[in-house]
Amino acid sequence: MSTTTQTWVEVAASDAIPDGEARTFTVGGVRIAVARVEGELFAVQDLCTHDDGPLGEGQLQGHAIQCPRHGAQFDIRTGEVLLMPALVPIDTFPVQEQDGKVQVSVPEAARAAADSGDDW
Amino acid sequence: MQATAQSSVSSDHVRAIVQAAGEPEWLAQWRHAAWDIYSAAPLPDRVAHLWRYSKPEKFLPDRITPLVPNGTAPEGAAPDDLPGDPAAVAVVEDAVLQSCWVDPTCRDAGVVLMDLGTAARQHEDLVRAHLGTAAGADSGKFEALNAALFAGGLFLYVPRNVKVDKPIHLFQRTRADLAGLFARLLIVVDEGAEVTLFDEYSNDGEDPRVLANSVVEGALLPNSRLSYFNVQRWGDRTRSHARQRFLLQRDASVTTVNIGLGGQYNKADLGNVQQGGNAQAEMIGVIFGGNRQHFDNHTEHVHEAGNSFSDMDFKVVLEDQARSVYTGLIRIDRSAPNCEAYQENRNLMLDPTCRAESIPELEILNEEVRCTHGATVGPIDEEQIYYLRTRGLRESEAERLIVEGFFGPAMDRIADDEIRDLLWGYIDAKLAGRTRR
Amino acid sequence: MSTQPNDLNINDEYKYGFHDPEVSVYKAERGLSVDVVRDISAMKKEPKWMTDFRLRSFDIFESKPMPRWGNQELLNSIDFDEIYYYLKPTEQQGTSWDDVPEYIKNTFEKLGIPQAERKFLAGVSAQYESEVVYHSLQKEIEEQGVIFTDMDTGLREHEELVKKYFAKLIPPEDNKFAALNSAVWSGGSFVYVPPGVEVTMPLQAYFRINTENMGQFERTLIIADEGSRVHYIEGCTAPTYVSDALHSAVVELVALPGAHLRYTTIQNWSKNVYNLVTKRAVAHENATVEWVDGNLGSKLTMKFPCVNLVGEGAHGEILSVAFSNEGQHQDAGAKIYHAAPRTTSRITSKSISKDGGRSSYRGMVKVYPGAVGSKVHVECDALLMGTGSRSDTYPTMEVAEEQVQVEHEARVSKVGDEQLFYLMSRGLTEEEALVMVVNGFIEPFVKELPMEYAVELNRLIQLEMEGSVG
Repeated sequence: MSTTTQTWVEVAASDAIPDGEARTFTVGGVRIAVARVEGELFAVQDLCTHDDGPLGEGQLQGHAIQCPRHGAQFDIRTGEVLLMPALVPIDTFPVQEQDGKVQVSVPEAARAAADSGDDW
Repeated sequence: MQATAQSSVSSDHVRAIVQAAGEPEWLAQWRHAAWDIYSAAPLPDRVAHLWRYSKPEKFLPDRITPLVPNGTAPEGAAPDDLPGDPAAVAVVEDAVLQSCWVDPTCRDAGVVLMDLGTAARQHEDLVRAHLGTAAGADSGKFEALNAALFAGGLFLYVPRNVKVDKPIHLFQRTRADLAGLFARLLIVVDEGAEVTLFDEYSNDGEDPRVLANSVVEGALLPNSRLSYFNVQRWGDRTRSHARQRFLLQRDASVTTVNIGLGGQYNKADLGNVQQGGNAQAEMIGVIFGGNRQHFDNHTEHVHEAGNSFSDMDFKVVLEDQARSVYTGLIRIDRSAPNCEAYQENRNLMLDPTCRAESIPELEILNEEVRCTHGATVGPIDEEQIYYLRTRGLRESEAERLIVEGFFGPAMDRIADDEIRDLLWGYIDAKLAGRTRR
Repeated sequence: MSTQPNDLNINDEYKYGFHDPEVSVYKAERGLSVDVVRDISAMKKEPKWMTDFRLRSFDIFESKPMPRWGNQELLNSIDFDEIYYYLKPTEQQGTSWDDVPEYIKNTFEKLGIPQAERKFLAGVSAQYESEVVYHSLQKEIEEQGVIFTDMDTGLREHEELVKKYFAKLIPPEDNKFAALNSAVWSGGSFVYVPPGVEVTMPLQAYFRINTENMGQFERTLIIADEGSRVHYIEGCTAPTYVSDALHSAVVELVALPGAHLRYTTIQNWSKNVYNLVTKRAVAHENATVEWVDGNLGSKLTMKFPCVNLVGEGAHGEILSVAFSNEGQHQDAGAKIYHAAPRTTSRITSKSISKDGGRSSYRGMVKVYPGAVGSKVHVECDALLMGTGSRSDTYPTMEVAEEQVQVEHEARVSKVGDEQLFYLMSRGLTEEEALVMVVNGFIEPFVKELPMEYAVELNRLIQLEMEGSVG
C-alpha cells in the first residue's frame, strides 16, 4: 500500500461478519465486500470484472468468492481470477478489526475511479 | 424560481402547471394520462441494451422541484441581442417564455412560434393532431414524465409552401439549483415548407444541479424540409435526458445535427422515422466529453416506407475519464423496399482514462436494400502529433488541430456557413477551456 | 436394414433427414429430474466430484431464467419436459468399424464417415445419440502422446487432466443451457496434444441424433499444450421429425503458450433441432485460436464462439457462415475479449437469409484496460434473397483502453442484378448464377475448409438454393 497514512473507515461490528460469509458496504462511493475466512478478514471490490455482478452476494468456498451471476471466481486474498468468465483481477483493500469494529481503508485512487463526478 | 432541497413530485405539479399556463382541459387530461403512465411504469430494464450502460435512477425527479411557470408569457417582446439575422427567436428561462419574436414577413406568411400551452388553445387542431405522435407518453417512463410536467414548451408551425430563408433560434435556459426543467418542442412543417432551426440548451454559464428532461418532436408533412441544430451545453452538474423524433411523410427531408458538449450525466435518444416514400434523413452527431462526463446516445432510423434514405455520422471525442456509449439502429421494415441506409460511429480517445462503447445495429426485413455501417475506436495518432510538433506547434495546439480534423468531415456536411461557424465556436470554446494538460 | 421413409418429412431436400428404427440399450424417461441426473452419472460410474458437479449444475439449471434476449418466441417454445436426456444406443464402443452395430454403421456410411477417415483424417469419433459408438486414432499420432477420445473415456483414463480444465472456461452458472449440459452431458471429445506436437491432419468428430425428441448434450474439451498444433472438425446431422430435438453442447478450448488450435464446425442439423451451444476458448501467450463455424441446419441456432485472449501476443480468429432458409433462425456471432497487451483478433461473418429465413450476427468485442497495442477487426456481410427474409446485425464494442484499434464494418445487400445479368449473359441459368454468387460470397470461409468439407459445403449450399428461382 501507499506510504501515506491510511484512513480507516468503520463499516460494521465484528460480529456482523461471521466466518465463511461476506457482507457488502459502500465506502467513499466504492462498493466493497468484506469476507471472513478462518477468522481472518478480507476486503475486495463488490463488483465482478466480468459483468459488474454483485460479488458480495456470491458464495465463499475457502478463499474463493464466486459471482452469483455467471460463476466467475476470485481469490479474496489477492484478487486474482480463479475461474472464468472473468479475465481481470478485482481490487483488494486493507481491512482490520479494532475494539470489536471492522474497519477498511479505501485509497484515494479507488475513490476517484468510483466517483461519477456527480455531486448531487 | 426557488426550489426546496427535498421534494416529491406529484400530480399536484401537473395541476399547478396547467393552472399557471391557463391550459385547456384536453391538454390537462393529456398530461394527467401521461402522469398515470409515468407512475405505473417500472424503471427501464437494464438488461435491455438501451439502458445497459446508464443508470435510469439518475433521471428520477427525487431531489428536484419541477419548474412551474409563474404567470403567462409576455407577448411578442423581442430579445435585446438578436443573434445574427434570424427569422424568429424565442428565449425560455426557468420554464417561462421571456421573449418571443417573429420577423414580420414570416408572421404575415403564417409562421407561428409561441408557448406550447398557448398554442394548445389558439391552434388546437394542429397541436392536438401532432402532440405526442413522435415521442408521446408511451415511448418511455421519462418521456411520460416530460409529457406530464413540461413547462415553457414551444410550438413552431411553418405553413404550406412557406420557405423560411433565415434560421430560427430557440434558447432553453435555467439557473435554478435542484430544478427539474421539462422542456418540450413541437415542430410542424407543412407540405412544401422549409425551415432551419437552431435549438440551444444551457445553464447560462452557471453550474446549478438541474435535471433536464427534454422532448423534441416534429412532423414533416409531404415534401417539406427541416434543418435542425441542437446544441447541448448544459453546465457541469446537469443531468440530461433527451428524446428527439421526427416523422417524415412522403418526399420530406430532414437534417439533424446534435452537438453534445455539456452536462454531467447525459442520455439522448435521437431518431427519424421514414413514414412516407422517398423520405430522406441525414443525422450528424458531434460529442466532446471530458471531466468525467457520461454521454449515452442512441440513434435510430426506422424506414417504414420504400425508396427512403438515411445517413448517420456520429463522432465522439473523449478525454479525462469521460465515457461514451453509442447505440444505433437502422431498421428497414418489410414494407420498405429499395431503401438505402448508412450508419457510422467513430470514437477518438485522447487519453487512457476514457471508455467507449459502440453498438451499431441493423435490422433488415426487406431484401431490396443497400445498407452499411461502420464503427471504430482508437487513440490519437502519435505520428500526426509528432508531425505537427515538428511544424512548431505545441502539443495542445496539435491535439486541438487533430480533434478539429476528426470532427471536420461531419461538420463539413453542414451547408450553412454561418451556422457551421457558430457550432465550431462552441466546440472550440470547449477545446480552449479544457482543464487537461 | 432399410431406412424408413419419413412420413412427415418437412424438408425433402435434406439428405440426412432419414432416421433409423430406435434401438437402445438404455433410455431415460422423458423430462429431467435429479434421478435422471443421478442415473446418468451412475451408469457412467463417475467419480464423486463429477456426480456432485452434475447435481449442482442441475440446481443451477432449475434456478436460472431463460435468456431474456434472442428469439424469445422460439426459445420459450422449448418444452424441457418432452425431451429424452439420455439414450445409450449400444453397450460398447467400437474401435474397428466392424464392431459398430450394423444399423449405426449404415447410418454413418450414408453420412460418409469411414470413407472420410480413410482419406484424410488423423482420427475419427462418431457419436450416436448420447454415446460415442466408434472411435479411432492413427497409430503414429497416438505414439506422439496425443489423446483423442470421447469425454467419458477421457474422464475415466485421464481424470487429473480433465479435472484441471473441465468447466473452467464455462462454469455451469454461465447460462441456462451450459447448466443443462453440465447436468446431463454425455459423449463429446477429449483431446490433449502434448507440447510441441503438431497434428498435421484433422481430428474429426461426427454427431448424429436419431430419436425423436432426443436431447444431445455432448461435452468437448481440447487442450493444446505449449507450441502444439491441432485442427478439430465436427459435423452434425439429425433426422427430420415433426417434434423438436434439442442439441446443447459445451465446448472448451485451451491453447497454452504458442499453441495453434483450430476448431471447425459444419452444423447441418435437420430443421427441427434447437441448437443452443456454448463454445469458448482461452488463448495464452502467443497462442492462436480459430473458430471456423458454418451453420446451415437447425430451427434455431444460438451460438457465439468466444476467444479469451489472456496472454500477450495471443491471436483470435472467428470465421463464420450462416445460411437460413424458410423457418430457420441462425442467431450466430462471435465474442472476443482482449485482456492482455498486443493481442489481435479478426471476426469475419457471412450470412445469407433466404425465403423467409432470418440470420443474426451478435457480437461482442471487449478490450480491458492494459490491453495496449491490441487490434480488432470485425467484418459482417449479409445477403438477402427472396421475400420475407431478415438480417440483423447486433455488434457490441466495449473499449476501456486508449492505445488500441477497434474496427467494425457491416454490409447488407441483395444479390446484385448486374452480377446476375452478367453471369446469365455467359450462359448460366438464373439458379446457377445465384449459386455461383452465393459460393463467391462465402468463398473466404470455404477456402479455410479441408477439401472434402469444402466440396460438401458447396453441395449443401446448392441444395439450399434449389427452387430459389421462380
